[in-house]
Amino acid sequence: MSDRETDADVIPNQQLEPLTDEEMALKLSMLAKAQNYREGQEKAFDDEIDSLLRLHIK
Amino acid sequence: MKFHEIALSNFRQFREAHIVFGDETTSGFNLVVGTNGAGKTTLLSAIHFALYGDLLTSLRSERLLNETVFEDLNPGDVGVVTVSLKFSHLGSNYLLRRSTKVKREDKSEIRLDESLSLTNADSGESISPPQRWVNNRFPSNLAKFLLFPGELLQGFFEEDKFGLLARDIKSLAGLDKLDFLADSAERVKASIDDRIRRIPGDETVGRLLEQKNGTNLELEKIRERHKDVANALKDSKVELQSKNRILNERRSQSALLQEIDMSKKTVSRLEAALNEQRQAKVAFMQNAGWVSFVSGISETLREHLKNMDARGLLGSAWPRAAISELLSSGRCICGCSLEESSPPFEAVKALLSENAKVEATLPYQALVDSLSDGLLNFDAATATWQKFISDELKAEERLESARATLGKQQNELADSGADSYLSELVNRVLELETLSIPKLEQDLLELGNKVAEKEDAVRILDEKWAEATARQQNHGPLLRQHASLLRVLASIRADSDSLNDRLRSELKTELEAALPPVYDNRPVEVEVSTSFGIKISRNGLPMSEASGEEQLRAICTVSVLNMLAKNYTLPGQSDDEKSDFPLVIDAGFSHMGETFRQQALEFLKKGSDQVVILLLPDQAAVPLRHIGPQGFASKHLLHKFSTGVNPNPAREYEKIGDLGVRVQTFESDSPYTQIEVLTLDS
Repeated sequence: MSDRETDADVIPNQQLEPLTDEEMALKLSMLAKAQNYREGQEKAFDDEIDSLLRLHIK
Repeated sequence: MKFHEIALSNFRQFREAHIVFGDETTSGFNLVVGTNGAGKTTLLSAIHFALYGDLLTSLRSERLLNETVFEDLNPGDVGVVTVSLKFSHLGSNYLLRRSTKVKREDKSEIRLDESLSLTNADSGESISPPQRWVNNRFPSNLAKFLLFPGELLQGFFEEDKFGLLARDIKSLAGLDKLDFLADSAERVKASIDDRIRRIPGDETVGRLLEQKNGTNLELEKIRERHKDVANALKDSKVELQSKNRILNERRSQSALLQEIDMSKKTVSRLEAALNEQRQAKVAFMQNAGWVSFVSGISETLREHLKNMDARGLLGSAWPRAAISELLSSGRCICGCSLEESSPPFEAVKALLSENAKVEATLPYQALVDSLSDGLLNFDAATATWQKFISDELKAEERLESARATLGKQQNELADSGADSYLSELVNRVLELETLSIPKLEQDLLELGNKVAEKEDAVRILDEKWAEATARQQNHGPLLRQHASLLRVLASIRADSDSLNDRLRSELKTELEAALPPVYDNRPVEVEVSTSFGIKISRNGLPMSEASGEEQLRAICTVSVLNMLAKNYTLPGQSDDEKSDFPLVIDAGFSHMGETFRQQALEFLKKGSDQVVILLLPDQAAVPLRHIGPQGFASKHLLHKFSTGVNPNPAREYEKIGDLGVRVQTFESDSPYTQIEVLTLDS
């Protein structure tokens, strides 16, 4: 286990922070992708979400 | 959305049928009236087929192709099923046309190619891709409620159907999409967590840096030493070159110096040789000492010696024959381990005889070495001993000669005016050539190997360091992505929670408003759980399941869901893609009392722009009685649907007086029964 803080316990503090422009763009892209999601395509969908993440957040 | 017209070709019971529901000007209320098997549910299924390409779930195992057409086909022949649907949505008119080729295969059919087209009827523009356009506006999971087979009304709120209901309610607001998006983001986050875990921590990088710096320091020290030694070697070589040059200039003197050095070495060597010679002589005499040959011994002693065991006297090494032979010549030997000149020897000699005379004194070992065939060889023993003496003498002479040569050379050097510097120079050159430079060269070689070893270690550490720092540099984006994903995930969850709250609250409010207070006029209480479990109670008691009340609740719920669906834009949907279904309710009224039916109709109308109710003829009178601006139920219609006699049988499509009702009658070919579609004008 890394000594880095990667767990979900950081979420509550960050919930209040507004999303940056990039994060908002990421969220909207993710939502748009989700609209066309079909059941049984989890892996491909995860890959797309990962790509979107790397596209928007550098 | 309103269905205006639907045209069926070869679709199940219908060879050809063209059914008009109305248009934008009509009320959007239709009754489809027909006996069992007349094709009411088929009509509902045709709408479903036009929109999604398949039949309602309850009919999926049924044949698509019209029975008569099917029977007319030979096996392998192909028939075509077509459904065209005209509808309006958000002020525009559209024509959706789906056509499927069906091949007869003995008793079954195989669907072949399918074509789908969607046209904006106002602009003539073709919309592509049509299915996506339809799905985005009229999600298929919503269709199961809105194109509503009556059997779903039964047990609508039951536990085993509830998961489905809850999931579909969630889909109204796109909550399901937010859910699986959050799930996916969680998985991606876990993958990033994993990647972050594999990045070396600061501690690892710090340790590597420490090692790298430490090894570099060691390398530098070794390089320094290497450099020092290399410089020393270089200096030594320069010095040697320089000193050799000086020596060359003073060649004669330096040659003499070198000769002197050689002479010194010779003297030293000869001294060592002489020393060695003397040590050999001492070793020759070791333990045995000296033996003297004595002549002129007394007769008494001679006889005495003859009778005794000479070996006992002289030692076991002496053969008896040798002793006898010696005694017969009037001589004897006298062994003594003492020095020749020592007083005890003189004392022994005195015992022998006054005339006794020592002829020779030899080392005991020389006599032992000279024994030959058991007899003493006095001459040989003497020669052996003399050789020691002469060798020693010769060594002394050689040494003296070398010393003399050295002295002579030193005198010559002194006479040549050579200074002590020259002497030092020669010595230094010798030292450089024989000691310093070879040692420095050896040291340099060893240090060079150590430098190479350390350089290798440093190179390996450098590579590890570069890899670790490269990974660390990757930290930035990865940690940013992680943090952003967490925030976006939190935002999606917050949206989901807020949407969940909103949808539950609206569902509760709308349901409480919609569900009628029955019997005792007390309002119903609706509880909607976070997972969209719906509990309806009155006075804290569950509502009755009797008298069609459950169907009423189900219809109300469906209507409310449809109404709510219009309020939500799904994730990724634009406003013009909001869902807006007509409600088509199949056989929902069969077990309802009149009051419930009236209420149900009102709620249905409230929830949708269009409500199509499929009814058996004997049920039609009830809704007719309650709907319509002037009492939709005219005595004509009531008469028609209560007696089965059409007051205007001659006309296929008829507007009945001023009642605002149009009646369209058509027949399906199986089982040859009539369907009537009633449209309320406004």
